[in-house]
Amino acid sequence: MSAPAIDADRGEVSGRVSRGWRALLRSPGGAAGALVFVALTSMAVLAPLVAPHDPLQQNLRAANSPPFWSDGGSWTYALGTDSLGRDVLSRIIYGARVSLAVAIGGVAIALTLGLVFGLIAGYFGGRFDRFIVSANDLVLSVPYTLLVIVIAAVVGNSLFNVILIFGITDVPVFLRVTRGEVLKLRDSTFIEAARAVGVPRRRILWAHLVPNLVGPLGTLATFEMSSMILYEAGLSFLGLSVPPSTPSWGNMISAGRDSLEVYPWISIAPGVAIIVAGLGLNLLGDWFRDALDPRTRRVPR
Amino acid sequence: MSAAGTDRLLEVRDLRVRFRTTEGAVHAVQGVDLELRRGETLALVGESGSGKSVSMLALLGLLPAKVAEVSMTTAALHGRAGIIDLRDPRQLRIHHVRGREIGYVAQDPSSSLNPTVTVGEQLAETVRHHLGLSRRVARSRAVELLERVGIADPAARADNYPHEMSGGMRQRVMIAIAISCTPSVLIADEPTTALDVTVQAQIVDLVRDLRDDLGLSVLWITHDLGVVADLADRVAVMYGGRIVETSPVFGAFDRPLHPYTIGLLESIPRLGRRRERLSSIAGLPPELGADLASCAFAPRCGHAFERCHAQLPAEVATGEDRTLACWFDVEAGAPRHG
Amino acid sequence: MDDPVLRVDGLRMWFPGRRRGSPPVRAVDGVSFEIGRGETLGLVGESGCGKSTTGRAVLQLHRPTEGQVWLGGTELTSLDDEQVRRLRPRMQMVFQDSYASLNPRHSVARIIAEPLLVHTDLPRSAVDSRVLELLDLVGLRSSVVSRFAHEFSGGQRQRINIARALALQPELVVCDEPISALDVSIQAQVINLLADLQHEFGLSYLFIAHDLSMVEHISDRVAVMYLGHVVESADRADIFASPRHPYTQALLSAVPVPDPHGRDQRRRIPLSGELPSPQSPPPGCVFSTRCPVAVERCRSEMPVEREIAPGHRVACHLAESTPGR
Repeated sequence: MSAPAIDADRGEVSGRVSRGWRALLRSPGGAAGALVFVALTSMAVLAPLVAPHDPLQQNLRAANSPPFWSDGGSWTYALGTDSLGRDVLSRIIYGARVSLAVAIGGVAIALTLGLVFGLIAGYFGGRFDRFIVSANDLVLSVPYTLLVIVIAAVVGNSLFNVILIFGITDVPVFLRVTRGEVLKLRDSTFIEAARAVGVPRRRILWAHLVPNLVGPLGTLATFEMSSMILYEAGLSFLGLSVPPSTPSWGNMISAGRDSLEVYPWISIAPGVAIIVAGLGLNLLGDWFRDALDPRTRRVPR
Repeated sequence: MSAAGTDRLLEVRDLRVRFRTTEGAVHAVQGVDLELRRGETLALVGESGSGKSVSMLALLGLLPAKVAEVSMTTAALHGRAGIIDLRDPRQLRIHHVRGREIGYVAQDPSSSLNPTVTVGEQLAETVRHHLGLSRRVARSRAVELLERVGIADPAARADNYPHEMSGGMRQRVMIAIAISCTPSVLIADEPTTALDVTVQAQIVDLVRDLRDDLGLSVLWITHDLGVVADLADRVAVMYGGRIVETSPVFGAFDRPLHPYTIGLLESIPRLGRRRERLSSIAGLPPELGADLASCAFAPRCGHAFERCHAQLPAEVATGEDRTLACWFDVEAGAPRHG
Repeated sequence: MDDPVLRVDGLRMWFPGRRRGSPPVRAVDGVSFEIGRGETLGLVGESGCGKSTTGRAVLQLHRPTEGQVWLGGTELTSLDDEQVRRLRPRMQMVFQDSYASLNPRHSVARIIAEPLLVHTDLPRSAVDSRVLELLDLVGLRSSVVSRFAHEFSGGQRQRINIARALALQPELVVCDEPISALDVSIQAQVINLLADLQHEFGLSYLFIAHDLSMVEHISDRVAVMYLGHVVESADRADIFASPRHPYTQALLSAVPVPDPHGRDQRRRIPLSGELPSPQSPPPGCVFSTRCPVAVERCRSEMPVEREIAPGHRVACHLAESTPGR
């Protein structure tokens, strides 16, 4: 990218931020992913306002009503109802809370711990590095699904537990990426320049290294959020996540399992929600990663 | 454009290259006319953003169509079997233009050599592909070539991987590959820029040697005026995607006519000629690829007047086998007529 | 020289070999020189000679394996990391890669202000005005403060680097190939800037470069390095007019002259062979394996640097008998 001539009076921060938005909109995948993320968050946050019905309210007379596009369906229960007459659409909207809470909470924990330990391992090296990496590999070596299921089965059903489990078991990925990036950046010239200026080590870590980690970790975070949504769904399908009274996409699928042939929408609707959420976040992550890669961004000089 | 009766080996007219990027079109090359005469060494001089490397890549068909729009009115190579139209990808393929007719040496040998294949094998592969030689013959030819480019102990070296060799040696390998099929033209893109000065001297000597030996016509792209003075018969100076001046080498150094050429020559320090302050060209190199309808150098030119900012100077012949694209006559100190 | 800004004595920088048990890489192997106030020492050599490592070792970015470095009256190698860090305002560096030496996430203002933020207690307003002052000093418009590295050209980035280096008014600036990556027409601009700043502030430069013509232009004295050793050092005029070391002579003969006249008559002194590995330097003179005039003594006995003319030091057994160019 050419430099603006110093004589051209642009007078303000070049549209770094505005260029980001424009690029996002230009990529169909990225835009779709962003849309999904926004929709997901809105649904979760605004659930009481958006959901047409109380997700827990049963209406046995309207049990197993089909979605509005089939005969017998109506707009009152747009996506139909389940065997207890609860509105599927409302339950999906409230279910987004669970999925989002796990995704955001889990990633927040994993990112924070992974960042801190990855920084220490990568920058200080030596004994710290060896110890942290070994511990990391230990956690990584356990089959993820198995680990999560066993822990969940032991500590019992609660959203908080699930977030904690996912958060901690996902640390290794963030740690690895952080450490890798730090190793790469540690020897870069601008870090050397910072040392030459006399910047103390702590400041180098926080003010120089961390800002450059935002990109790769941000990308990773979106992918991990997508994974967590899927894993949570799996867990709640098995009844190991939130208590059955709280609607979650996974336990909705589980509940509709027996009547799949007769009343398919009860399972399919939440299934679609999971797919869309997971796919959307993956697309967002893809876009993010491509946007950060200098090679795919612009034509080389 | 050229003196009558000279043997034109390579002729390019109105070469234009436009890159499609997310930030709009980048006009990297804006109407370049070039000719390479048989047996001569033409230096294509310019700084970053001048379009010199891109021109060559476009000429050789090495720019992917997805990314770059290349157009040329003429691109003719007088090959062994007649005139080849370089714009036609089929002809490029059939005549093995890249390799057999034109040898290309890129700037950075590290990225042009396959790190997982020995240099001997890469050489042998080239001659097998372009000349259809058998494995055995190709292998011995490879060793021969390594020796020809001055690599000591060529038989042993042939089994080295690129990373086991120094930068200078890798560049020699690149040259060996380029001349392996005895092309008539050698195009070298800043082959010595990344090398130490003593190694650079060796490479320049090598090319001079090969040139005389094999009767090569050489197109040498560089920004180093010292190398130009050493090697070139003729010089073409590029700025902002266009050629601003061409001249036989002595004329270019003794009597430069374009303000940019003059500025360049004055801004380089010369050993033994110490001045208090280096004179420098004001301002910055042009924005890459803006499509200007006026002289790209005008913002930095001390002689610029209204016409320079309004109209693109046409490239005209100024006698003595020289061309110039400038509205100002530096020798007369006044705008040019016509 | 009395009261030099920098005195380097017997500097060695050895890096451990890649594998356990392999010999160390002797990047710098016994280098000594001095730089006076307001003076520029040009340190030249080709890749692998150790000049960049010397620059970094002087600044204690690599802690020297052996030797002493005196910055004014303070000996640096005996200080701990924190003490060295506190002295950094007095000795700064301008790096070769103008892009890589700027944090891509920091604005220009942030980059230039950092030395002030780290080493002084100046209030924010004072820091800001000093940043503007520095930008002006290096010829950049104040409107660029909020921009980022990738928005600038190479020459402008080097100006930013220079502004940062000068922020705390150092005595010594190590310039590690500051212009080699720049376009020819911009190199002159930056060199002129460096010279102007030196005049104005009495800076001392350790100017590391491989471009001999540039070095001749800006240096007061020149030291030539080969495989970790200084083979010759002299005043600028002397070293270019009458080089005494065969390597210096070969180096000078290899510099292309931007003048086509007489090109067929120019004789280059060829150097045979390749640069030896710094892990196993030749016994005796390190240049003996490639020297066109080496004799037996050169291969077995390491030449000691000696003064063959006032201010002109050479490490060569044959210095007296080697004719100047």
